[in-house]
Amino acid sequence: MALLEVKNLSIYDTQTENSIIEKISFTVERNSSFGIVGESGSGKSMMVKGILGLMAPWMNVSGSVYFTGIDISEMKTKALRQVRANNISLIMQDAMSAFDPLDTIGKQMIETFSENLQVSKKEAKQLATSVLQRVGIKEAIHVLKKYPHQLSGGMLQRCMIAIAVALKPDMIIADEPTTALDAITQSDIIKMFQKLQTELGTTFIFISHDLAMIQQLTQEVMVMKNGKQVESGKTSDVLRRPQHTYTQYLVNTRLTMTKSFEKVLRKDTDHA
Amino acid sequence: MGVLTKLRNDRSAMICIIFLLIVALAGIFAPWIAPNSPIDVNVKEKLVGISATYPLGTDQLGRCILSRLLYGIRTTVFIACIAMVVTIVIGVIIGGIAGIFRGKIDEFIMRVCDIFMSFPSEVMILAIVGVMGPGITNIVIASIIAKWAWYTRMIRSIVRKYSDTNYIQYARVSGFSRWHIARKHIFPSTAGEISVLATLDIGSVIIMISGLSFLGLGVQPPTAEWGMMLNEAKNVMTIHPALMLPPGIAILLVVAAFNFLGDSLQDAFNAKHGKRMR
Amino acid sequence: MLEVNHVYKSYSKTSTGFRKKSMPVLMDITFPINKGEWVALVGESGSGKSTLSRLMLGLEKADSGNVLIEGKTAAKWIKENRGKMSVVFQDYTSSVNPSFKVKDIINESLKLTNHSKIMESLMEKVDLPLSLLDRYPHELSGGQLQRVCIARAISTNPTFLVLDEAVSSLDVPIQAQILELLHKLKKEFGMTCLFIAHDLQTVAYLCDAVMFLHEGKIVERVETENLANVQSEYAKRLLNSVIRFS
Repeated sequence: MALLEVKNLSIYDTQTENSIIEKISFTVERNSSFGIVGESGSGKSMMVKGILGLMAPWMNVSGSVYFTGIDISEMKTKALRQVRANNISLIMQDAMSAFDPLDTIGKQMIETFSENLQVSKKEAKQLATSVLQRVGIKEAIHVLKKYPHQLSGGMLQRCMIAIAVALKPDMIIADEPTTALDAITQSDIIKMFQKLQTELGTTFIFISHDLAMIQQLTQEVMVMKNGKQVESGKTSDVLRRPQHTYTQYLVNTRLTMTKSFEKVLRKDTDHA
Repeated sequence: MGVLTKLRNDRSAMICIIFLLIVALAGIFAPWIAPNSPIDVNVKEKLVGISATYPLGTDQLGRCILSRLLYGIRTTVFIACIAMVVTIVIGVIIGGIAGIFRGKIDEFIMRVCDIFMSFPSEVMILAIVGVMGPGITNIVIASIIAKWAWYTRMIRSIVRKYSDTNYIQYARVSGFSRWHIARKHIFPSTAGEISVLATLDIGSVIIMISGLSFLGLGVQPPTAEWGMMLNEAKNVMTIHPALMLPPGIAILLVVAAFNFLGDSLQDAFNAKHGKRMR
Repeated sequence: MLEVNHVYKSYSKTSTGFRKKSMPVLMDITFPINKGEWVALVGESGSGKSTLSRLMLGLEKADSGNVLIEGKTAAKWIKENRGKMSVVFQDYTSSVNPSFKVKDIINESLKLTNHSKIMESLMEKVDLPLSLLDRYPHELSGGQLQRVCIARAISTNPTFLVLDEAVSSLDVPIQAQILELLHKLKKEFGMTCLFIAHDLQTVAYLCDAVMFLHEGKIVERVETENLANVQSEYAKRLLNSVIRFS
């Protein structure tokens, strides 16, 4: 049984009378990693909100979402919140706004853990230290004492990922997790995700506009354009031999952008 | 969506605007619409109730209360507006200079503001009126002296906020003159926030002017003024308490209308920015 | 044409207690940019990139050292050569006055130099339809708005252009389009350019040379062709961090 199955999901904005996404269907298997690619404005993030039932009341959501075989699109708000808290974690692009600026990272992590995992404060602190180390923060105890504004974007993103990992959800959804970060940090975070995938066996959904990241991190991919699903399949197939013109366009623009860089590097390997 | 459309859809804002417009028109046309003279004393008919000649009755000197209320708009509301406008103009000029030029000028202006703001404004107003003597002009001057520093500071911070935006920086890099930048970008961008500031604060100016007149420091009799009407009504409070109601309610309604309007304006401007910043 | 000589810059920041602590941001920065050259400045956020660009744009003064353009200080040069310095920022939404229409945004700069250039041809140069001229900034997509900013920046025929992370916050396909556009403009106008970025792939596409800025110091400068042979630790790290796509 698939972990997540989305069938004919459509979202319609009744205020502006616009269709946000139309008839999206896909399945995510357990322990796999799924990518959703599209430009900003293609409805990727809205779709995630739709799946998790985080929609504004004037958004009309239709279609069904099966999580571990249960239709969560029909669930009551309270039951759905339970599912979100226990089984699904969301990592957002803007880590800064995800933390309360008035509390230390440690306090916020400990609170989250003791509430969601029913552990004591002391155990929560130990857990916080160990997961921070796991996501590559060496001075974990030091970081716990800091306030969000004292940490860099990359650090905060790691903290957020650490929280997601510690809650041991069935699925982690990462919405543009590296877009706001510097090149070096981006590649560090991607390497960390790769490590987590092999270690944890959690299911991941990555949402990005960057094909390189999707290529590095996912096995299956879906390409979206203007709220419609244009292509999906194995990541390697879709990116090597894109069928739809839009996917071809995405791949080609990505290649044009890097061609000079690749040329410079290749020239060097030729020498050697 | 523009600020105007937003306001048009805001019912409480519309009610406030219409009410304040009526008040303003009533003040302007007071000589034509007032049923009686506001200062003619008629002791024979003092403290009469509501009647056709005196729609709101008369006070202890037999003056028509409605007429005094209408003429009072001219003193209370209009003088408050004048005081506000002058304060804002001073604030925009000095605060603008501080915000745009920064550096030593800014430092100097801010220290002067600090000094002015370190006196409690009520004490300062009383001191100024005490030195210069009571009277309309003097309370306007007192109110300006008491408030300009605060406005200068607020306007400076608004100007600074905008002059850090990229489009102002672009204009500076391309070599536009400071005057061009101030006129084309900074002034129009800040106008909204400044008008919100002014609308929200005009209520307190009205209360201040009425308060001073109530204490006998502002408008001098026999000119009609709401605060002074309250003061006169106070003398006969035990035998005729209803006399306090017309000026009291008038002050309450006008101040409340300005405050609600200020809130709505703020919402309208914020909504505009929210939309455009996205 | 442009020289940066031993520039130091630090910001004061109040920490615990009353003593002001000064935080050095730039330390002994020295480099020239030759006429017509496109030089990239690469570094992480917090490395001092934006401070350096603000110094070169004449928006701030260095603590010591100077930025000379054709032998004059940046601020003076800008005053004497209106419109000859131009900039495109990363954050396009705050780069334009939100209450101006697109045509007013471009027109403002056009008036500065009294150029005979017409708005229509500018819009064509940046591949934007003329129908956008009457729109407000919030009605445009990010890519379109950044094109408007580029159109405005080239409208005065600048001799020196600063692109401050001009493509970094756009989607990859749009980034590629903007890079192509800039490449075209580079050939056509022949201006000198400082291109600030954190992504080496975009840099390699456009620039002739790359400078690596790390913790307030320029650690290395290489020609783009020799990018693979960087010597410094930091440049190597940055080169290895590129997420390759194949």
